[in-house]
Amino acid sequence: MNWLYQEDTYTPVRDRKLYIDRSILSILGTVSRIRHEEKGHRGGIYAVSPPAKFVCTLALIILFSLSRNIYFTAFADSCAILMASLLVMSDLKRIAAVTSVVILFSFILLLPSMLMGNIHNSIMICMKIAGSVLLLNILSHSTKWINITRSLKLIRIPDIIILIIDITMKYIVILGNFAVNMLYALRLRSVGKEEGKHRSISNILGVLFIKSKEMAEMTYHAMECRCFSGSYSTQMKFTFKARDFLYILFILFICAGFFLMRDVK
Amino acid sequence: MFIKMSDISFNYDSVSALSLINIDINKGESVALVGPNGSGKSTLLKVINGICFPSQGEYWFDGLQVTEKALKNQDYLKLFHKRIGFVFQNSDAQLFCATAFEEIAFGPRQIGLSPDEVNERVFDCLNLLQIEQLKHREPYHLSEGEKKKLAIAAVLALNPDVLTLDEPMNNLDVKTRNFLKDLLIKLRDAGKTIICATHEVSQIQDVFSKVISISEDHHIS
Amino acid sequence: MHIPDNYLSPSTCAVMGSAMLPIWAVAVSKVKKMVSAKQIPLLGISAAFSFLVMMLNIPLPGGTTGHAVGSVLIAILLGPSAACLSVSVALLIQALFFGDGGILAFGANCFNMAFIMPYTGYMIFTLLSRLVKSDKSKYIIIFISAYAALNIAAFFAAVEFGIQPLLFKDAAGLPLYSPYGLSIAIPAMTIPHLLVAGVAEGLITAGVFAFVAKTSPGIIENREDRTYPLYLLLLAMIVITPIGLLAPGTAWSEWGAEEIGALVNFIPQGMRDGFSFKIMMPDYTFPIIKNETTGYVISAIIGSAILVIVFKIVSEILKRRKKDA
Repeated sequence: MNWLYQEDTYTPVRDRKLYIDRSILSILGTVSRIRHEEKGHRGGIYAVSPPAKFVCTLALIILFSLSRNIYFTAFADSCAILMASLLVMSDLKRIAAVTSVVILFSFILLLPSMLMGNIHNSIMICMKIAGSVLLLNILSHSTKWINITRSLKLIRIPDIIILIIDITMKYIVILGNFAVNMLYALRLRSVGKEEGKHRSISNILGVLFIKSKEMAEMTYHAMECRCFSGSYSTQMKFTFKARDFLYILFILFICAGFFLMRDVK
Repeated sequence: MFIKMSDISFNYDSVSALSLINIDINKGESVALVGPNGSGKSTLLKVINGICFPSQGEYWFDGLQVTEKALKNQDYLKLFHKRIGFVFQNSDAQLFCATAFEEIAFGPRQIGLSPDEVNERVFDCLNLLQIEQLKHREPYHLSEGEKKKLAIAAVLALNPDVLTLDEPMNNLDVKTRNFLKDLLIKLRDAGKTIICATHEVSQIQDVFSKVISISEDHHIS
Repeated sequence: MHIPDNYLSPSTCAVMGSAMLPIWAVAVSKVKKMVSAKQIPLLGISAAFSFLVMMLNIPLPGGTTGHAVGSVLIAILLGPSAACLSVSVALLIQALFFGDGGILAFGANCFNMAFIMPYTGYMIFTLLSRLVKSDKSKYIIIFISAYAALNIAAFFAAVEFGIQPLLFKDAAGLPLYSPYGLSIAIPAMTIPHLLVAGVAEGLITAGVFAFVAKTSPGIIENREDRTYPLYLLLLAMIVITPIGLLAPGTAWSEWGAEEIGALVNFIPQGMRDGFSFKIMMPDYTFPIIKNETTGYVISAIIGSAILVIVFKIVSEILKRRKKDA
């Protein structure tokens, strides 16, 4: 045991640890997005009825996809930016960052096609992507996520699936935190060269899987102990106010644009 | 005898978790289950709640024998779980709904109460556990103490006759522990049968009238 | 290989979405056969697990990193139907809440990652396990199954992408959605998957399985019925589709060699930097058929999928009859 009472002389060997940090960052980012939900008491677009926002966002994304007219795309894009401007600064910054990255990537991906002469359509695709991503982000930043999952009922998704989605969200947070702790432990113990790095990730995922199975078993028992009979009813109590009426009117205005601009060249 | 177990043994993968356990508990008694780690307290609570079935021995609850076959009957299963409530050691596994309100409402809705009755029970439980402010919060956002209180509220909403708890005081601060202790005394005085696996010896004199001790070799000592 | 919106035409999205409906129905019925209520938390939690797998950065020998999907892993650990549903839920949450796009392309993404990938991987795994019975080669078999399944799924995504310019053109004859034909899309998508992503997928699948098998073997449960005719049909479908596509072979190569070079160079760079390549994968949409070739192609794919499912249901019924007899 003499080594424990003496100091070591150790010079670390350089080795890549980036993969651990990146994994930690992506999981933490996700978990914090799920946890950061303080939208309750804001007004404006935040308080518009969630099922209305959900259905309208979906409808607009479909219109974007169907549109073959660059004028409508531009028109709808500007309306989307108008809606985004109703958000709080911090949300706006985040959305602007995400949307810009997506547009940039699309642009780069379509560049070869544009160089070959297909400019008009490529730009239209970029604009469509910008609009769809913007709308989706507006939805997810202005609405509590559990309200979005409740609204899935409106597109005929069965209640049991909604229960599964609720459980999934919760466990992304729980398992995510657990995984991050293991990744931190790995980081702290990565003092030198690590052979077979993918094995560490495999082991962490292995532990994660075993834990998942155990927790699934326990959750099932918890449901059983509370008389779960296989049916689940989600309650949607959403009121319809003037604000919602204005919102829907605006969306209808955009939809009208789709039909009116069909023949504009 | 409200709860009676004779010669219960439980094995998994040839490892014995419980060995020849005999228990008699009367209605309204408050019982502490003590023993070192690994002695089988959690397993015993699972058997009492019908989650695990013993390899041998008999388990009688309120005059009816509880077997795997008996619990296949959906009506009996529901009634059984309504009458015995279980607060898990791990609150994370116990809470699976989207908000605290839904969590507490889950049980009453499953047994078919009207929406008004469900609301009444949810509000009463929120008040009893002093967690009204958590009504619309997500369970995975809460602290350990808040989660434990929510779990207890969710179980009490079904108005069980028997309340079983697996080491409820773990990971809780002193204030929450005292709150829980007072709550258990209140429930005991209201006539509930309480079975609690615990490490906290200091509680025993105040809350519990009977102690069952399981030793390391999984027998009653 | 997540496909974002607007690269696939709305009709493609609609067709892929409708194709998934019977597939999900079959998966649900398979999963329900095991103790039904018990599967609900298991599906939710394995969906969370699948979601987290997709977030991890996997270091590969040689200095690059990759991302894995995990469908084959879950298929081997819990059965392909559970994998189908879990991965679908994970993809839904990604599409809905993590705003990169992919709402309309959800059907197509599920088709590739929640149907083709787990079922093909599982099929290859069971077939190979039957042929080669040694313990040592088990992990090599798992690696191969995951590697192959990912690449087959990537191939399907490439085809979905690549037929867009053929099927959807505007009045001037220019492609409306993904502008890259099969001759670009196929190599552009399959090469990075063959070289990098497939390796990551194989390593992770084999590695995690090895860990779980060593530490907690009792946990592995898949009691899927091994209906070989069904899987042979799936194999046939996979083989026939590319042949079917190449047959009408007219103006596939709309872009020259430089374009292919540029695209292929770009993608590995993006991966080395660790960006998610969700954005680069075009949508795989099925357009509403105006062109008969498209119609043929699409109906071939969908028809095979439906046949597979019908076959499954029929063999299910036959099995049950045999049991009763």
